[in-house]
Amino acid sequence: MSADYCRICTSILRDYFGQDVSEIAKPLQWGQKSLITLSTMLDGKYPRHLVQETLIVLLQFNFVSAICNVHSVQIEYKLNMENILMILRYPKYLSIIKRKFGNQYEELVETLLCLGRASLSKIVSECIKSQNKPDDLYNNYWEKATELIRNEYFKRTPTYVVWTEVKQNKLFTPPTKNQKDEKKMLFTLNYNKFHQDMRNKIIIDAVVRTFDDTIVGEVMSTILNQCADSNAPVSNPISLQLIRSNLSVGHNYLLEYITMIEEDPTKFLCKSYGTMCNITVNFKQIINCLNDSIMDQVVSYKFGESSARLFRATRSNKLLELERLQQTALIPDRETKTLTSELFMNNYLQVQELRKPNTRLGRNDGKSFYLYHLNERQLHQELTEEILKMIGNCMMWKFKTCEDNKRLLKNKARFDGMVQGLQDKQEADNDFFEEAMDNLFSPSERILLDSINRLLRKCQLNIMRLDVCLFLFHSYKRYNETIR
Amino acid sequence: MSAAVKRGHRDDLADVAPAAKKARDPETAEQRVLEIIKCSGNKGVSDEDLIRACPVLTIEERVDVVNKLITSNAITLHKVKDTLRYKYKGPTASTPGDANTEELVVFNLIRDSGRKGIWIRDVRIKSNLGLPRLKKILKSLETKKAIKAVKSVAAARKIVYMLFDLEPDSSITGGAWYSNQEFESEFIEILTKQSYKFLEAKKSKALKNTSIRSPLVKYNTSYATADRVLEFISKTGVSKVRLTVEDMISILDLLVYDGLAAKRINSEGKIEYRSTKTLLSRNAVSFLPCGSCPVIKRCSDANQLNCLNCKHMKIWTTI
Ligand code: SF4
Repeated sequence: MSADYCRICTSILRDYFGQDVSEIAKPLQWGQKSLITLSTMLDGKYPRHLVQETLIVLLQFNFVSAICNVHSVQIEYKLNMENILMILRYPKYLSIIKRKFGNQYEELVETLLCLGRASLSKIVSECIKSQNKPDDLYNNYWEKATELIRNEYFKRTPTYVVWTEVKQNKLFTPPTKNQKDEKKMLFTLNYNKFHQDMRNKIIIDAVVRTFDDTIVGEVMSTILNQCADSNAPVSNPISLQLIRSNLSVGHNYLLEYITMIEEDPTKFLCKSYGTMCNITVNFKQIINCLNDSIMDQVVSYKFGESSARLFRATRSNKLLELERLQQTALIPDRETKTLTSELFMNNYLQVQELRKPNTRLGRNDGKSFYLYHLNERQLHQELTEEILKMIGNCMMWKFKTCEDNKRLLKNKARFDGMVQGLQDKQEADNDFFEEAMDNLFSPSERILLDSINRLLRKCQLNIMRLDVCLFLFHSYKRYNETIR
Repeated sequence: MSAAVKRGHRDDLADVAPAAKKARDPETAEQRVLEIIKCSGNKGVSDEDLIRACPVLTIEERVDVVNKLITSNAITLHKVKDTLRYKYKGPTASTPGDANTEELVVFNLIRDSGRKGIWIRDVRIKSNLGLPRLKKILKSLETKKAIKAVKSVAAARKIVYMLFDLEPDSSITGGAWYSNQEFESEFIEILTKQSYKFLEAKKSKALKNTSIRSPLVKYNTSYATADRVLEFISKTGVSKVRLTVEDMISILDLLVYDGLAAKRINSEGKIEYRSTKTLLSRNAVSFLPCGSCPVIKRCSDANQLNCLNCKHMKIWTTI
């Protein structure tokens, strides 16, 4: 794991669980360790029982998994950094559920996110408690939770005790209410399903942008909804009938829309001709296109339009000599040289040297061909690192801001709690709060509070935006690795 | 030429020198040999090949014919792997009437280079003449309007020589994108802008057209071939030079490289272009100063250069 990756994990843990947990988890970043090793490493800083407690909390969230090696006597603990990084996406998950199902479902998901893993009854009762809802809504929430299970947003998970497992076919079966061992059936979030939704959303947006037509987006989303969950580069074939029966608009021109998407140079879809018209989605192709798009944007933002042109020209021509590159991109000679060398120095372009064979006299006339090309894998790796660093930087600023204004923020939190309490009991009106606010905080403090809030929001927003890039990079990696 | 000189038994230098056009009666043997050499194309014909091709000629006759052809500059001699080969040279340009031997050597070298021209250094090496002498010869040929010097776009100070009445090759002039050996970036920029405008207009016209209901037809009409764009460009009169379709294609390809257009091959096998947007909206990286930071690799918490005392980050976080 790279340093940036670890740095972010520490930051995230610090953000959600506090300084102590992040410090205790830190040694695990460099490899799995047993409890004894871990507590010896932290000796003097943290007592053993605290380490134990931390591990239990992290196990609960599946941020740490317990590994029992056949050869070792001890159980070792491993940090699941990927899962920790998912925390960045929690707001996104919530908004997906809210958009798709509604508020109550969102509350359920939020509760489960806070619990890590829990039985359905626990999720429902906690949810009702935290939202201050009357108890008679229990059945209502229960139904909604089972619906989420059936839609595969929640999945069964074993307890964190080693050697336990859930059968594949039981993953998405909701428990009945009065089942005897209901309490033992734990559920957790099915990240895959959420990620599929995220991916589909991005694809639909891209299609709409390409065709400037919202109906195409509808068609695409209907098709995507019929795709089976798999990481195959090409989806399962979907029959035209199925799409037609699920589509709400644009029936008359369905085939034309599909042909349109198929014939576009982006080639998102494939159509099979024959007695049955089947459609497949080229997921790998789509993800590659999207990734190329990110790359181009990054290059153009970092180095300017002309460099982006050179970059793209190199990509579409695979291997190019400088002179040819200049002729293709039509950029003045000297500028081409400067720009390519800049790209080269930053590892965005690679150079392959082709030596001319030595002449008969044993002399080499000193000329070799230098062919420019891209190394996408390496580029992805580097960009991922950079984006991780940027997220880390945003987080650092978040911490710093909170740290600098600790006292003020604490007061504000206390005040907010009080307001919440009063509001629940409906004992005071807005004017009262306004007055109280005026009395407790000076005008400058109020301005400061405002700007702190804005800064925190800005950081959070950018972290989420950057996370979309990470998401796409990750998908790219997955699609391009399953092939080999 | 120098090769012929080396082959002493063929001819004397004195005979070669007055290579002015002699009126010759069309001899059949000469024509036939010329024909054979012509047919061989770029590969050329060796002496043995000639013997095989026309066995009727005696050695003397053959030598005579070949020499005549060489002196009249219809064929040239080339040394390929220790054997001499004759190659057809094409219609010969007239040599300046009063040229002396050295001038003729230089002139022939320059003529051989064709539209691509020849660099003075190469002339010197091939002709074995000293630089001052060569310069003089070149000057005299230039004043006779037999040759001309052309600046090459490949390097700023590289001058190539070619026959006076030849149009320089596009690799020397750089094609439509150069005027006076200067690369016309602005011209290219204007052309790309105009082409993009045209494609955009075509697309929005197609999308807005309410008389067409079919989305596929709408989509297909938003594409334009290079011919169409060229037609539009010629009409606007932005370009003073005449552009070819190839020039237009390279301009439209630039739009593709800029991410502003997409190209595809239509059912007739022609390349079509359509303006597009990027697949993703604004890039997340561009919201942060770190996105364009040149030292991001060295920025780390353990360093003096870290995000908390970075100037740009400080500005970014001040609200
Ligand atoms: S914090 Fe400053 S120095 Fe560090 S990467 Fe960002 S812009 Fe560059």
